[in-house]
Amino acid sequence: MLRFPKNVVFREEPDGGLLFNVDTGDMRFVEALACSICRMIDGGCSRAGILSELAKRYPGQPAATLESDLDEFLGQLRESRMLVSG
Amino acid sequence: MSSHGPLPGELGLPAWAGIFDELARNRILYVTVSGGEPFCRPDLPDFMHLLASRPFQLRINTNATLVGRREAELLASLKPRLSDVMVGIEGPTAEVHDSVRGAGSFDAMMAGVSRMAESGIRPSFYCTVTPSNMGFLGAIADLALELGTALSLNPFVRSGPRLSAEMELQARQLGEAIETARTLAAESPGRIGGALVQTWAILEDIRSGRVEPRTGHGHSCAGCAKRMIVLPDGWISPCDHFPELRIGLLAGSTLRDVLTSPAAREFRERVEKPLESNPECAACGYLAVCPGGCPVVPWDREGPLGPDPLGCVRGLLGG
Repeated sequence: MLRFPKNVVFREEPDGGLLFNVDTGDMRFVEALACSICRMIDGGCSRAGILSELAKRYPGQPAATLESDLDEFLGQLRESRMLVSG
Repeated sequence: MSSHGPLPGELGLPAWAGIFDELARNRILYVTVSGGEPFCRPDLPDFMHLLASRPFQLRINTNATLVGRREAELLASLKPRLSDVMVGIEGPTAEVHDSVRGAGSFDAMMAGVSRMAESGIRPSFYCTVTPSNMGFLGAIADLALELGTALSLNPFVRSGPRLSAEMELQARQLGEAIETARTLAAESPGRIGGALVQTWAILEDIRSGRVEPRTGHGHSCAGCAKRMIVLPDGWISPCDHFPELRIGLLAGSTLRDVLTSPAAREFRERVEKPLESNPECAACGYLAVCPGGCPVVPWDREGPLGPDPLGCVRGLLGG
């Protein structure tokens, strides 16, 4: 299961969203698609669940491309300590 | 107590916990604990731990006079969630500082800052610039940057009838204070800021033609939009300069209800009303590049909001 750490706040904004680490002050802005992924994480969605939702939204995209794009984004969030598993 | 008088009806911790939950539900990111003086509250440790157990980045604004070893250890225990301890400084000596804050305040503040240093806390300082301390800004900056991380220089804002007109900077003094603040900021990059430095930057952008002309904009106020104050009794105000302008009671209500209340809408409508609705601004050659200014000082005037005397571009640049 994916989740934001307790010290990271996800907030939706009119033109996307932001992730804010209240301990470090680090802030990351996310555009619409990344924001929708963050919304799914915030709602308790798993990686598989997010992939399934993305496949529905982008039926023309190869599954491997969606998977690699998602993993790249999740990897960036993990690297910046804005995402944890479990 | 605040400079506006007593603030009655302070809520207890359970009510504050409910308010903090509501702020967290609305994903408020920053909370600054201010006063009056926060350390006057006997249960401040519990209050701060209630806040720190929720996802906010915290700051505290104190005069430091009540900070002993225990209080300094409390502040240290809240790091890293507590990102800044802001201490008010009015002068570089007891004579200047105490003329505003009262006899003994300077020595008590310095002792409090020393206790903080022993606990690994380096505060930032803020100075309210008035005619009585504007000649000491260089020395204030030296002291603040020796003891702390940064200094914010802000002009005195006469935002209530109980505040003395003698503390207001006159137009020429305001211009001098802005230039001094700019010089100090240039000497210590990234460490000196505040409204005076921001005003200098705005004026410089206007002088250099870097501001995109626009129309239909109102005052540049974030009250009830991007910031708000929760008063000690749980009422919401747009700004700490407006403690008597109460837009709704947050205790027992939702933030959405308060910020969409008729009082909140009325406030936003007034501050967002185009500057040209005021004849003084409509005739101004700087209207299209004016950032709008703060609505606090002209607020009580009848009719459309007039110019902010502390940010009026025409007043500061002439013409």
